[in-house]
Amino acid sequence: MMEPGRGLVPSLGYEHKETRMRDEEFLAFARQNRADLLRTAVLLTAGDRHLAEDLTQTTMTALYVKWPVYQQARNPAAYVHRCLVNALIDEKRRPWRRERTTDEIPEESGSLVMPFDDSPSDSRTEALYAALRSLPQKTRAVLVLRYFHDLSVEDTAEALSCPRGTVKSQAARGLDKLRERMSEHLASTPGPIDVNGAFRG
Amino acid sequence: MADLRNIMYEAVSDIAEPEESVLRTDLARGRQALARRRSTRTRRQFLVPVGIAAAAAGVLGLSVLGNGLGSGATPRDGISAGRDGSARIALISYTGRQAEGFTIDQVPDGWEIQGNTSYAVIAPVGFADQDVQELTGKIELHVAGKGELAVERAEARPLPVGGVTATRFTFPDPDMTVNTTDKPKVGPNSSAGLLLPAGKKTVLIQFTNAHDWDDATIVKFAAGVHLNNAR
Repeated sequence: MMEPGRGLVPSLGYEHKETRMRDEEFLAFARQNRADLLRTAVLLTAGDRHLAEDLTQTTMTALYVKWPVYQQARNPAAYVHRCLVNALIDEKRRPWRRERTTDEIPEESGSLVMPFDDSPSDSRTEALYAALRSLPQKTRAVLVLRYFHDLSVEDTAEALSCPRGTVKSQAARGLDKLRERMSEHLASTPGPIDVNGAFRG
Repeated sequence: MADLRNIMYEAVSDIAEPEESVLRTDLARGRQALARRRSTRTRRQFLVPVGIAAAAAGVLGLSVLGNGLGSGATPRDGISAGRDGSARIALISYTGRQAEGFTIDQVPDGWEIQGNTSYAVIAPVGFADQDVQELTGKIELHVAGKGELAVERAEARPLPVGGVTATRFTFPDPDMTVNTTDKPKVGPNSSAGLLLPAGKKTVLIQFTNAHDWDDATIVKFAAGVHLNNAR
């Protein structure tokens, strides 16, 4: 719908102000956030780029359809992340995507620093993805949102629709597990190992 | 010393900003999904009442035939099912509140003007969606802008309305219109449109796509549309 006297882009076929505004705002959002959304999706899928692209597309579509909801969200960033995580969960529920996940998250070890090697970048990335793959989806999502996006516990909880306590415990346990699995992976990979290296979450 | 954040950034550092074509494809996908959603919602909103009316008419017809009488059923709520299954509109005089800037003489039976805006939105009384920005299942009228007058229209043809010659056309199917360079494409989700001269201005009318708006009904409706202060 156009307001009286207002022009529109010829041949665009937009007759509704709402549609035109939604399109413009959506494109502006996409320009600013799509790459970051894809990066997040790659981490959430533990390096599965094809699935990550699928999830990003699904999330972008969901956002367009629910654009007014996104705009009115108390925390729009959390809403976007929730859409992405929901897309991942939905995707993983499909039979052909069902994967054998992981063992149980161990009890919190209390240790925040783990030995870490200074391997080449490729090896580190490979170890990261292998370690992320070994974690349950939700734990993976907590780690990505907390440490990649630097979200607060509250915002992470809102994005994942879970209690703050769950975020705290999953972050701590997931971090320990991640370190453990990365160390195992790097130790089993040929190459120089610098045991002095470490990462701090 | 590397921290987790750095390692994560390192892992995805090769992902570049997307090209404009990727964003446009996202937009097209979103528009298609939204159109599908709206189309489904519209069908539900209209087919259920029509179905109920048809069932009621069937019961009434049996009852009447049982009494040895045989008259046709009267359309209810301004809508009746046509031979092709599409819903037809019956117009009646409108005496309710008018939209700012317009006087509308006739509306479909059981419909009203929503809100109080500079454009006119007409919807069934008690319509679930009272948001005047949402136009699915509604008729909308406003003064056309320059761009809207210049834009290429699908299936455009002259249609006399009262003493003026209006332009009857078809709005593009939102499922099939993707880019700004697209020619307007007519599809199952297209709706009827009319450019109606009103003094030096032109009123643009978009009709509902769920109903069978034949020329006679469009002319009858448009003849009752008056733009206040049309100079």
